[in-house]
Amino acid sequence: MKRLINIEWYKLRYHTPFWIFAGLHIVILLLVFLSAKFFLDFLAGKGEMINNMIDPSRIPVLQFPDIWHNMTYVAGFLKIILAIYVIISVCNEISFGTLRQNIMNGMSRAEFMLSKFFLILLLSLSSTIFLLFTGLVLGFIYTGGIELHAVLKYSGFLPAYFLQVTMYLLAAFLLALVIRRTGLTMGLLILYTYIIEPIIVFRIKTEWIKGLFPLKAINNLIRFPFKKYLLRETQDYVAIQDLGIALVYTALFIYLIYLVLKKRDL
Amino acid sequence: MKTAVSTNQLTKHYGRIKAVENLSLDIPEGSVFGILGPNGSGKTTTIGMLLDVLNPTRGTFSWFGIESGTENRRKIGSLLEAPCFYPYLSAVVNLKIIAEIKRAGYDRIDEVLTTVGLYERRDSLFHTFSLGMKQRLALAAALLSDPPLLILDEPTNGLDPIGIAEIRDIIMAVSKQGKTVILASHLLDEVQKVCTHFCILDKGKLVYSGLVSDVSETEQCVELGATDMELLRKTVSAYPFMIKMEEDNEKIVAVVPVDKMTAFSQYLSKNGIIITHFLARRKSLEKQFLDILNDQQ
Repeated sequence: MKRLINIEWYKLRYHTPFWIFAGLHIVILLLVFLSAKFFLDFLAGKGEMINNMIDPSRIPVLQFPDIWHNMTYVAGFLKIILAIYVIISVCNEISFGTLRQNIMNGMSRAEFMLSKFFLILLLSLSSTIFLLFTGLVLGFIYTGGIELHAVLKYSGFLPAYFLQVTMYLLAAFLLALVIRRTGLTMGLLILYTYIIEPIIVFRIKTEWIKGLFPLKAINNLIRFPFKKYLLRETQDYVAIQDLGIALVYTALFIYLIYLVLKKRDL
Repeated sequence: MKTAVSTNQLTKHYGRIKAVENLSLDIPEGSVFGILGPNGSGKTTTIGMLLDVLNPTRGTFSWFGIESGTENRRKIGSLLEAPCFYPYLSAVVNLKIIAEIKRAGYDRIDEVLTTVGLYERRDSLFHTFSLGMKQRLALAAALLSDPPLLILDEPTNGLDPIGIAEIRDIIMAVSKQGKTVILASHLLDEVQKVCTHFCILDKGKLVYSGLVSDVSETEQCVELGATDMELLRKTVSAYPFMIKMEEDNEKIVAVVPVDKMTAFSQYLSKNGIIITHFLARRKSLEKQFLDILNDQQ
């Protein structure tokens, strides 16, 4: 395993786009978190009230324990940045001919898959750790009177975020293997994520069928958190059936990736 | 003699196109084995299957008596068509990746770079290399794990005459160490110079397999010129063991049995002919190649 990590790390550390995408992801995440608070303060400054009764600046978006749910939910929108890098990385291997060359040199197809899983885990794990640190720092800044109980509550959304990003990146890996062209894969992933599936899901009336679609299954791990500030009911935990569907999809993605790699003439 | 590679009814179809059809071939260990064939005859497809990048439609093959597997491929140095490396990485880093894949140490990297003449450019990025340099780096990669078997597919593509001669020297040196070399090429001259065995593929089928030394051994073709061409013509045509005689551009081309060569030369001088031009042509593999292909049709 260490050997595969070495191989992948050689490819990453000298690849400028890797650092650009990693940096971009971090910068945008920080901008979004900070601007949320500024935006609410700005609304409050103009005398706006939510539902005519709540002062926006008093909404505890960046306070323990809500911060974990809010942050992971918002960060979920930016996983496309990481997915694009995964697509670049996989399509490069195909267009450079290095996938073929590596197999000829004695890598097995399964080993190639594992080396890309390392890339995926590196991206999802490091962004989860980044959220953990940012969450702790912002939480301590904005929360008055900290209790350990409050810090820990909802922190289960961090592993949920980790799974969510991993799944999405696996889907990107699979799509890149099937389509093989960087631009086309990116375009299709964006189209599917923001247009095709949302339209299909919107037209379906039954809630549980909606949850069976892959993207919905990925996103259902962390449900929309902000309704609670409008005093509506909010699912503030990861439901066991959502987790189950997500894990089935994870296994399916991995199996399909393996199948495509195994059957393909390189 | 042990076999390095053995294929059994190996077949690859692309839809209706039969790229390789029922290929059964044994490549002896220690040989330099040439795979010949016109463009599109299935040379590269065969090698692709042997290296597990193409899935055979049916049939099997084994390396050193063992069925295919990653273990085998790590023991093979291969160089196929266009050289493929990470363009944004330097020569050294590219070779480090290959060393990791092959579970070989980094200690031979400098050595193989020196062998192919790229040591000075070891830290240059791959995309800055010329085609010839890329091909040299691919050869360095093939030699990296000091493999007992080398597979080369058109290794002289894009190389200058010096590079071609160097590749030939490397093949000879590797072969002298008792290693096996498989060389696919349509450059017959190349194959004739370095190979001990060869086979010919045509439209995916094996049409000939044998020793290079079997070709050209029985007949000898000589070009002759003399001060008195008229006398030469008469004398040569009267020679009893003559197989064939042609006139070509102020020269006479005679085909005689190989074992009669000395006698033929003595016969000419005995008849008072002063030779001004004498050139023994090898009956080339190319001729043999074309003959075999013509017989097929």
